[in-house]
Amino acid sequence: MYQYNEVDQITVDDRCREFRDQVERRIEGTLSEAEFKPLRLMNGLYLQLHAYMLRVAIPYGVLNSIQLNKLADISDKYDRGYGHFTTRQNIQFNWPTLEEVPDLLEELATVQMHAIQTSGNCIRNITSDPLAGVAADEEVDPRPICEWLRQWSTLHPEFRYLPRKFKFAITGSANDRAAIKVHDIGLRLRKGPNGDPLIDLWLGGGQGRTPKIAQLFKQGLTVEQLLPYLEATLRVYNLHGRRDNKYKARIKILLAETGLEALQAQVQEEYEALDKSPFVNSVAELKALYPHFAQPLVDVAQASEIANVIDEKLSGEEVARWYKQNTRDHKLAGFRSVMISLKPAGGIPGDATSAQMRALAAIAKRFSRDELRVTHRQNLILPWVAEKDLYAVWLALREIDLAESNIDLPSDIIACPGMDYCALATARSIPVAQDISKAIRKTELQHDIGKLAINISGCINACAHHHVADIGVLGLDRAGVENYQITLGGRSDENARVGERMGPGVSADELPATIERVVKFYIKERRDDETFSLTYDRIGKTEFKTAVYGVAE
Amino acid sequence: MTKQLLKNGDVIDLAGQVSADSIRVPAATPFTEIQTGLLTQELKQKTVLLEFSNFADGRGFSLAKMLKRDLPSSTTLAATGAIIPDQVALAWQCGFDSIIVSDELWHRCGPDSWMV
Ligand code: SF4
Repeated sequence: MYQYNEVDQITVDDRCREFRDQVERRIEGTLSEAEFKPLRLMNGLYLQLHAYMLRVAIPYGVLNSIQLNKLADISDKYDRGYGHFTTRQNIQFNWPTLEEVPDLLEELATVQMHAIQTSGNCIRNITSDPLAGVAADEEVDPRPICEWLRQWSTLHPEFRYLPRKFKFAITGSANDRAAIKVHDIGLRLRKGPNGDPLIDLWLGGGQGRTPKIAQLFKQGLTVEQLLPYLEATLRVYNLHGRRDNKYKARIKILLAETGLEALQAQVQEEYEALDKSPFVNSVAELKALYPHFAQPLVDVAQASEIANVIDEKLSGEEVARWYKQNTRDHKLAGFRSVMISLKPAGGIPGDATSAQMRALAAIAKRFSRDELRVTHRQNLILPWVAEKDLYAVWLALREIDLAESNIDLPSDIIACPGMDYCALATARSIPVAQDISKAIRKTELQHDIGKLAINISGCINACAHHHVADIGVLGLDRAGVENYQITLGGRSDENARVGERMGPGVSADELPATIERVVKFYIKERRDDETFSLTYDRIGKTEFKTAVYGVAE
Repeated sequence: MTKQLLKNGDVIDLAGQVSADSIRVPAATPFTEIQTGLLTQELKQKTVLLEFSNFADGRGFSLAKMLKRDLPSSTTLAATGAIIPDQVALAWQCGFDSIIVSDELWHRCGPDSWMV
């Protein structure tokens, strides 16, 4: 994993000092609240319903044990003993006071972490495949490019005051686990002719009020071309982008209004005119990052030999189910990735206690080359577990109530903070997620149902990606009463598409039974192991709508 | 009195008009005007004053980069209008040669805060 060099550390330390100064000037009053707001947002600090909330960047979702231990300390000291993992592979802390935040940032800087650009109208924390570098199906390891772009975009002088936030996601696999097509820019890396990747740039995806699937904007960029091309794209967007209406300010709207070809031409023109001299060393800098992400050397023979002995222990019913549901094929023989569900029965999706974080840090250190990942489904991953250690890992996870075998199953629900924390919320999402999870667990069919994504957003901003879930739920406020709108058939993978909205929303009370009906209908109708979206396509909206409202059984 | 902040840290007190051969350009100039090159034609002046109407609107930073590239090197580029001390470093990095700060802003933000 990447370790900061001197420049990175100086940048982050400077930024801490700068923010301390900004907070002091705000408290003194020499900075107005209007002036302070974008500055605090660029440092991940939100003003929420009840208090401030700090969002800490976990670049492309990669963490080590020292960092996770620090996050545990912070959750004890500044939150109420919890950390909240988000759909952008970040972690959020509720309840810090403004005066405390500079201290908190300084603590983060001691473990090479920060909150820079986790919010505000700038290039946000870059997300990637949570199985980057370890997935069996991976073509190109995206982590070096992720880190390269993190460095390029961090504190970029030209792009700190963009029309709106700007999100990147990067994948190097044909099976897209990074949802690149619902990001402002999604990059798909492929193997190039001389060992360097070629990059397809998808542009204009997004969720929120106007969900859009990205369009293929530029195919086959070389690593030499990538940074200047991105710079040209962001420059054209910055100069065009509307400041009068924040709902029309994202690049997806610019793309729709300008048209694909016209926007491509504008970017191309700027790309050609752009001064390339600042980029002469950039490819060398990328190459210098590769060793940080080198594959470990392992004794394959030994690993699989021991695996054969241990396999028996994995045959118990509970552990076998966990193995099947929560572990994934690995690039390296003798290894698996272990997914850790942060969706236990009755829990808050994405929450971990400080005690769990400390225990996980120890497990990662001992069994996973000191590394963890955060997924956009609000779960965690131990990416480097030797098969021989799987049983021990399972036992250790069970100790801390984190061995729930429900990864990708219906109770693996994504939910945003909603009305319980978020100032923008129009409805609750955490409690309804808990209710739905309970209803689905009651059926005890989860493992027979198989893969099914239920995502719940507490307002139209769609932080829980409800548009691209099999079953999306959007909480609205109808004359003071919570009302939940259902969307079916969305996908966030390589065949991403926006789901279709059913009819009128249902009440919070009706919601669990409604979801249960949809799930049961799907199971009844599906052929073999047909996915939800395929069944939906075959049977159609009308029939599914009937299931939603339970008119005919 | 208005202040002019230079890259090397010098501060000049400006009395009244900045310079006779200067031209004001809104940072929010529409992209189409920038693109046609008309703007650069018009701007072969000694000083271009890029005017920020709102500090949260970052168009001026991108426009500065393009103008610096397209204008003769004898033209100097100044930022003016709604700029806050926290943007001074960005302005230098994007190619501005100076920043003109109103008296009101200079004092409200505190003279020290402008010295980056
Ligand atoms: S979807 Fe809405 S309620 Fe939920 S976190 Fe995002 S802004 Fe807040």
